[in-house]
Amino acid sequence: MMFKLITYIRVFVRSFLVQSGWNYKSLISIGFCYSLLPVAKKLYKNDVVKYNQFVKRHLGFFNGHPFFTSYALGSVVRLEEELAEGKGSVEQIEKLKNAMIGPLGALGDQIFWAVVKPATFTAGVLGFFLIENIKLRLIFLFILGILYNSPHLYIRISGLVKGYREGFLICKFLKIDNFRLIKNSYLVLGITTIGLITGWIAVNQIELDPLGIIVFTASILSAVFYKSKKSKTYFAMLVPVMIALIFGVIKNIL
Amino acid sequence: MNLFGISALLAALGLDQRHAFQLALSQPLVTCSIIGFFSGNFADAMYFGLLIQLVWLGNLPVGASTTPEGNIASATGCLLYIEYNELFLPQSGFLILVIYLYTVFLSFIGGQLYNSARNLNIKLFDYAFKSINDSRRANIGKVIVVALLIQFGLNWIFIIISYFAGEQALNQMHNLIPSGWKTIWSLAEWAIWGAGIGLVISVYKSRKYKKLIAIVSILSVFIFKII
Repeated sequence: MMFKLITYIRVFVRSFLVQSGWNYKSLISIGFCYSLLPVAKKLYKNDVVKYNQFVKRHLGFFNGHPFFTSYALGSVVRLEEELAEGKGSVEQIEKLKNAMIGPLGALGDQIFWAVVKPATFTAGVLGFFLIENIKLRLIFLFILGILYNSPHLYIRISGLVKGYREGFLICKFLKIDNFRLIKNSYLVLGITTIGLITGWIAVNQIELDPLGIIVFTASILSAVFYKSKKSKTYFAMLVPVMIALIFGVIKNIL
Repeated sequence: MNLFGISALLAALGLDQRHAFQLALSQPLVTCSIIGFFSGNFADAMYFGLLIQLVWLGNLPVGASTTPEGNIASATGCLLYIEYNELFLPQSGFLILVIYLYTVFLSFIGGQLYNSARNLNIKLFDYAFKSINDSRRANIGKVIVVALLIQFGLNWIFIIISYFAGEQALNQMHNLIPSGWKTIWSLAEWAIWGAGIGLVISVYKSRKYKKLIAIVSILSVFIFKII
């Protein structure tokens, strides 16, 4: 039992490197395979052929959000153990992995990249506005780390545990409805903080330079406009500066 | 800490963006605070981190997409900002504008560099596969270490070269800016704030969320006015 637990902890620790070998041929498969190696060593310690078959199986194309990949890791560990006991099949493992690629990516992107990360760091920016003391800002940075990494580590740990418990049935669990609490909490945080930041800058700007409020508003609108058009990210970053320079020239002439 | 030391630390933290751990240690708010700690110039470094942070939050590293590598670019921009802030003081708007544009440019180069690393990793993948086919015990750990070292090396070289290039450019520019043009760039800072906020808002695709943000913004103007 203890031996098993140590193996799972090693899989968990290695899962932090799941994107290390990202490449255009097999995407995250190198990191995914590396995370599973403690299991391969446990199951096929003295059998190089079976060990290499295990490695080859998991070096094949695979992708997923780095945090949510834990669900795949957990369930694959379970299926590999069953396979070593002669219960399952290689086809079943391949089928499971292929079925998980879509949901793992979609969930992670929707929850972490589009909600948790922006919400945490807009809260960070607002906090830095409100806190001027440098020591308090450093403490606040630490709190931000907790705010971001609590759901992150929760997904990594619970993914591994739940994936192992459910095995092949984990696919049924990977739905956005099961992660609503995380998504909605950070959505509220993100919307509130970005709104407060806008209000804070606008209020301070009016006092400093009324023309700045026009530039500020135009910059927000142009960035939203260009970002909504695909492949125009750099326009979204640069057009606001052009607007500021045009108004700056007008201001200089007047 | 000298430039090589701090850039090595920043290159290592840059791995956190996509390669290892992903604990959000590479975000500008964090890296710029670290630069502030080592340079002893907390206020300026934190200010730059604060200014640039929002700009990168709108870029979602979805699947195999190439997004601007803003975090390492921001760290380089921060190093330049704290180095030149005093020198450019009457024209601080110009310095902010130039470093912002340079940071955006670096983020593009960084994205391409990241693609190169992904292509290099294909060779590592082929090596791992070949070793299995040769019936040797595949050493995936070695592959991971090499992939991390390659990315760390690329990050490090990228920071150092872009810092020195930026330094050269700013030294040249310093004597060329007409003093009467101060007002021209005085609004650039507000445009950067606006760009950052706009880019974050664009993450919230639904119109309902955009409306909510607008309502909170308007309400907060009144709240902050009263405070």
